[in-house]
Amino acid sequence: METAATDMTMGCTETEEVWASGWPRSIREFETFVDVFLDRLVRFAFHRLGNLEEAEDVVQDVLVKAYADREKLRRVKQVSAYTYRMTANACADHRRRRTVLSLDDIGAEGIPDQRDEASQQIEAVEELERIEQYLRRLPRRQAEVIALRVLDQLSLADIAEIVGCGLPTVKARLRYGLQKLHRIVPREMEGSI
Amino acid sequence: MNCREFRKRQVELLDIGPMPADLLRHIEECPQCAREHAESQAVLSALSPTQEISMSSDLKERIMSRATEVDSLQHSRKRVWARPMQFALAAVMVLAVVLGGSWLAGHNAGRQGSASAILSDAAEAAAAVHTVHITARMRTPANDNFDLIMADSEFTPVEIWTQSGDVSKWRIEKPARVAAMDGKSTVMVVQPGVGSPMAWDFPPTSGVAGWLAPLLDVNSLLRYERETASRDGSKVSVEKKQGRILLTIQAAAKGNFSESDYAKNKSVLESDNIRVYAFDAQTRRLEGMEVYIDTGAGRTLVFEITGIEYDTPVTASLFEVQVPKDAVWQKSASEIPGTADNSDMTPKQVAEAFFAAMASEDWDAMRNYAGNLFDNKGLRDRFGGLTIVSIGEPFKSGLYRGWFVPYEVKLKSGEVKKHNLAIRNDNPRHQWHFDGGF
Repeated sequence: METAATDMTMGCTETEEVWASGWPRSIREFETFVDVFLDRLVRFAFHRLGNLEEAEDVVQDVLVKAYADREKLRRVKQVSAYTYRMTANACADHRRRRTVLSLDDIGAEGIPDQRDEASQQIEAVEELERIEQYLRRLPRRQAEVIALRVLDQLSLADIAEIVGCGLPTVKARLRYGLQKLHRIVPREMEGSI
Repeated sequence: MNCREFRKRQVELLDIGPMPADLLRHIEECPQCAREHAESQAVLSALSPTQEISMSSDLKERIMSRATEVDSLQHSRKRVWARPMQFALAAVMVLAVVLGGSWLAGHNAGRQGSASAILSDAAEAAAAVHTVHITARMRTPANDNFDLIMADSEFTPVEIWTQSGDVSKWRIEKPARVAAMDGKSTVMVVQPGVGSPMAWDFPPTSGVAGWLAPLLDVNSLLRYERETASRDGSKVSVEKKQGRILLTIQAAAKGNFSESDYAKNKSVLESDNIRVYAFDAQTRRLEGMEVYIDTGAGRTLVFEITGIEYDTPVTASLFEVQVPKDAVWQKSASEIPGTADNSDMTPKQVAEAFFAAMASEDWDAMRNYAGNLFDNKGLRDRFGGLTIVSIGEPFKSGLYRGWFVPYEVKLKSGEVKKHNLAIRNDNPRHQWHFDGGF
C-alpha cells in the first residue's frame, strides 16, 4: 500500500487497487488516502475555481467531511470517482456562493482581482483562462471529458466513473471533442503547437 | 486493422497507461492515420497547462488536524452515550431502589418493550421537529469549557439552539462562552478573565460542544439509546409520574485514575453519574433531563434542562456568533510561520519551556507552545515576568489524552498560582501545545 500511495502520478487503476476494500476507516488509512489524492484534488479544484486558496479550502472541507462520514460511505467502492464528484460538487457550490457574494456585496468594485495573487498563480490562472476559451466552444459534455483528461490528467476509466457514464461514451466524447478542437485550436494558436 | 477501425479507437492512444499494440502497429504502417494521431496529440498538448500549481505546504497537516478533531469528537460521543447505558443495564435494580421508581411492566420482557417503545416514540417525535431550543443550568464556570463541571460551584445558565434540515446548525451559549455552527464552520468566542475576547474558527465538526454535543441532535441520541437497549436485552429503569415518563441511566466514572484522581468529577463522563430523561407521556417528546454526580460526599445535581421549546422560529443570524471587534483570532503554532518543532520534548520539558518563556516574556518562544494565545496584551501584562517556584512531575488522569504538569508560580502582582498545566500532543505531527490549566 505504501508504494502505491506514494505514486502521485498514478491513474485510476492503481488507486482503485489501493482502495479496493472501500473507504478509509482509520486515521492512518485516511492519511494514506490524503497522500494519494490531495495534490490531484487541489489541482482539480483549482481548475474549477481559478483560485488556489479557495481550491485548498474546498478540498480540505471535502476530505474532512469524507472522513467524518466514513461510516455512511463505507460501502462506496469507487473511492476515487466518488471523491472527485464530491470535490466537483463542492466547487460548484462554492462558485454559486461566490456569485451571490459578488452580486450582493462586492458592488461596483467587481470580483477581486486575481492579479494580487503570487505571480505563479497569476500565470496559472491566465493559462487556465486561455484553455477554457477553447473548451467553452465545445458541447458541455465533450468539454468536461477533455478537461478531465488534459487539466486533471485522469485516465479515461477514471473519467467514466466521475461523470457517471460508460467508457465507450467517454471515448466518443473525447473523439468528437478533439475533432472540433482540430478546427479551432490550430488556427487560433498558430505557432503555439 | 483498417483506418476506420483505427479512427474509432484512436483516443485509446491518448489515455494514461500502455498503448494498445494493434493501434501502434497501424500508425507505423499508415502515414495518414499517424498524421491524424500526431495532430490530436498536438491539440491535447496545446491545451495542457504548463504552469504547475504548488499547494500550501501545511495543507495536509491542516486536514489531518481537523480529521483528528473529528476522531476525538466521534470517540467522545461513543463514550458518552454507549457505556453508560451498558452500565445501567447491570445496575438497574440498584436504581430502582435509589430512585424509588416502579416498573411500567410487571415482568422482564414487558420492561424491555416499554423502554424501547418509549425511546423509539421519543426519537420519532424528535425527528419531526425542525428547531429545538433548550434552556438549562449547569454547575460550570461561565467562560470555561462546555465539558467542565464543578460540583461545588453555583449554577450557570446554558442555552442550546439546534436547527435540523439539509444543513444542521446549532448554538451553545453560557455567559462568557458562546459557540455556533452555521453549517460551514464553528465560531467560538470566549471572554477570558483578563485581556481581550478570544475567537476561534473551527470546522463544522469540531468538538467544542464537548459533553453537550449529544444534545445538539436529540433524535440521534434517543435513537441510539433505543438501539442499545434493544440489542442488549433492555433493562432500563422506567417510571411514570405526573404525566411524564422518566427514564434513568446510571454510569460509573470513565477514565484511568490509577495515577491521580485529579480529573475525577471534572466532567460528567469522569464522574459516577445518573442521567434522568423526562418525556411527555402523551407526545413522547423530551421535556427534561437531569444529571447527578456522586462525589462520595453525596449526590449533586450538576445539569438540569429547565425548558425545551420545539419549532420556535429562529433567524439565520442566531447561528452566527457576533465576534467583538477587539477579539483576537486564535491560531495554533502550526498556523504561525517560524514556530519550532517541539515533538521530541518530554511533557516536563514543555512545561519548563512554557513557563520560562512567560518568565522572560519571550513571546516568540511562547508561540511554539501556545500559538498566538499570548499575543493578548491583557494576558501578557498579567502573566509576563512571573517567577517559577516549582514544576512537578507530569501525570495522567481520567480521560484526558494529554498530560498534567503540577506547577507553582508567583506573578508580578504577588499572587501565587498553584495548579496543573494541561498539555497534549495527540496530533499527527505530535506537536506539544498548551491546552489549559493556567
